[in-house]
Amino acid sequence: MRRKQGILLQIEMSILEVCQSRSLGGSPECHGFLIATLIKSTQEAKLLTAYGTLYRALSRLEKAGFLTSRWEDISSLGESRPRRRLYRITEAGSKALAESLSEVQEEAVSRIMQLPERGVA
Amino acid sequence: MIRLAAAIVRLWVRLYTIGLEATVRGRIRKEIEADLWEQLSGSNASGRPPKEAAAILLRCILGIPSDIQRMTEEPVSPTMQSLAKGMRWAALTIVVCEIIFFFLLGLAAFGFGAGVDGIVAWVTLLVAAASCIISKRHLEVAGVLLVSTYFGLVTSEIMMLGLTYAFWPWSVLGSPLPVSGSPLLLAGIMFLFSRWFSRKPSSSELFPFPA
Repeated sequence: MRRKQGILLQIEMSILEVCQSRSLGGSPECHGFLIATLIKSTQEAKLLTAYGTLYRALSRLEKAGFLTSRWEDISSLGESRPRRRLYRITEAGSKALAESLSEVQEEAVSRIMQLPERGVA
Repeated sequence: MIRLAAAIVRLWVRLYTIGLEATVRGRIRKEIEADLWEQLSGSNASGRPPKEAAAILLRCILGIPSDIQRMTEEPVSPTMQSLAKGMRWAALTIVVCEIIFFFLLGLAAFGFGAGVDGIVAWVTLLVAAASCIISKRHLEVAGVLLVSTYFGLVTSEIMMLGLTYAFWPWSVLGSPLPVSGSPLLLAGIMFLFSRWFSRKPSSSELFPFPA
């Protein structure tokens, strides 16, 4: 199925929203598991986003220039755990998110406006 | 139980990233390993292992369609590309050997005289061979050769034997391995393998966002 040009998928919007809210909160970088956890809590979902869905979307957003990423430097932390890949939203990402959200809102409004014409009023 | 679920996830990630370029492969594996670690350490704290194990498995299973799509978006490793090239040649060799085999089978059974059908078949073969040389479209002409050998030189009994040998997995070779007994099926699988690993990444098509 081909995507509509210029519109983000739901999962991509959720990721960008999480990254943006973290950025506004003063900690701009977040890792995959944290993103999945935050999406789960904001959407009140029962499950965390699937590995494949989450990391494919992250990779796609990075390729599009909406996110940047780096491996964290764990040596300075002195912890014995796998390194996290840290993501940060870019300006282009914020802009794309704002555009997509307004597009979604416009679409929802136009659907509501069409309801009486279809005889659903 | 949680350890088993994590092991299944690791195994799946290893499997689907096996043909990808080393940097991409390493990144995917490390990212999911870090994610698993976070989830496992969280589950140890929560004290509900069976539920967490199920959640880990579900996360893996629900992501499989995306994993498979990602395989087509990321670049393939050079090793796999060369292996795919080798597979393509091996598949082609099997098909050519099959054609020669059926040709010889027909000759051994009926020599050069198989009535009107035989003459028609010989003419078809000659035309096919000539067009093979002129057009250099080897695969298509190989197909014509195979069909004409079946329907012209070979009688129905030999044809059935040949079809059984060529396509039926548990064929005349009586191989314990279902596929290896069927050369054309094997060639088909090898050809599909080579096509899959000699593809180009398709991520630009999947993300048509205006610049």
